[in-house]
Amino acid sequence: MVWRTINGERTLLSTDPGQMLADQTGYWAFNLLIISLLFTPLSKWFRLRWVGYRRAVGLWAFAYAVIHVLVFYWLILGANLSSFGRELVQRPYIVLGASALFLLLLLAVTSNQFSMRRLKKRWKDLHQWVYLAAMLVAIHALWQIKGDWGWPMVQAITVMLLLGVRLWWVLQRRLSAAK
Amino acid sequence: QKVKQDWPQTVSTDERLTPEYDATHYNNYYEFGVGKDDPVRNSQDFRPDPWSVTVSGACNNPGTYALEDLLQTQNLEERIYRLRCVEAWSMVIPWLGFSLADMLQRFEPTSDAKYVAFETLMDPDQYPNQRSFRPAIPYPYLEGLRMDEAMHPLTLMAVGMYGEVLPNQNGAPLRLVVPWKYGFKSIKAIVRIHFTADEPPTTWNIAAPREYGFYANVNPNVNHPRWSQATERRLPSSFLSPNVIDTQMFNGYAEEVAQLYTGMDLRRYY
Repeated sequence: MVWRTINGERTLLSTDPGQMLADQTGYWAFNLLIISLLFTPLSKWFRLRWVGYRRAVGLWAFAYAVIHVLVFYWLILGANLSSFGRELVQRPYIVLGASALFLLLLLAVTSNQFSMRRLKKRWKDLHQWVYLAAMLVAIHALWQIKGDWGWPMVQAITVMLLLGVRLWWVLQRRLSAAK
Repeated sequence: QKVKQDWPQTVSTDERLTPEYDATHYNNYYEFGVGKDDPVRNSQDFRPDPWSVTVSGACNNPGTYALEDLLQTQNLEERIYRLRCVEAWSMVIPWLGFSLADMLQRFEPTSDAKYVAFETLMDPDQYPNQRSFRPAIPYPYLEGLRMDEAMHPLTLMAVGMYGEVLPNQNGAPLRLVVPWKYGFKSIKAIVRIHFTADEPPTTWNIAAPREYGFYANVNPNVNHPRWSQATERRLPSSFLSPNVIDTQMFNGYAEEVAQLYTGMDLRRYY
């Protein structure tokens, strides 16, 4: 972080810190979400025992997403509650982002041992919704692209591949059960 | 390098100037890359000299003009203009230049000249995004104005800013500044001027016609399909003061330019 003093004013990070932080927190929230999705397939293929870290990564993804929204509200909208409300209903990609955050909130509050015990089998069903959240985030990111495709495209493809792997496993299980 | 020591300041504002550092280190110039710091990072070896501009189309004096010839007869003025980017950020910049009208009149446009088209240099050797495997937008960059917009006294052909020659990253050696339109209309590094009877194609309109129109007048009442144009972040902004202000009709130049668009549906001609 660089502090710069011009005309007695201090500028932190960038000429436009709101845009920069909104981009960066969103980018990393999505990356962390993707990493949390990688745990199960990687553990299975490489017989790793990393699954214990999955919850922490998922919660960090949620934390980045919350900061992302705070930056948007505070620095992009100038802490204007009515324009926040307007954006929330008018901009389709913001509706998608907000829906994804709502899903992540549900998953975050049920991420503890207590909820796992209480929800039993339903816990797994509930937490499979993370794939829906990831797809919503992917569209949320792709929708904002201007000239450059770059990372949102790579992230979206990664999510689709991971979802494909999971669906393939489900299919295999169904087929072997049917035999 | 100073352009000239004394010039009259013909348009001013009591708004705070954007610090020169911010205006020269944070901007869009896709030829150098899509990041906001790509222009300053990738433009240091750009060669704005020698430079010439080809004039063609409906005019009596077409031809290729060396930059020096185009500047000779012009008197430089300093004009402090608000610059509103279509991405909803804005700056206040002291430009050095001359009325585009003064320059265009030398070419004697004929009555067939209803529009004037501009083109940025095409040179993949100097512009990384032009030689990229997937360019962000089609090149060369094209822009255009209706003739009355081009001849309007506020329309500026800029050769400098902050009392010095234009830095490469801000469009050296010759760029347009149309202060009541979104920034992308203010085409940089101009190599071609063409007078035409028909509305010329413009780059962002080609790339995304629903989002960027030919007119691109700053208008808080007509949102970009994906984001609001009602407010803007006046840069530099900081954590303590996000500096979000209301966007003004025609970027605050309505008194001067609104009559150009009398009777036009600005929702349709966005």
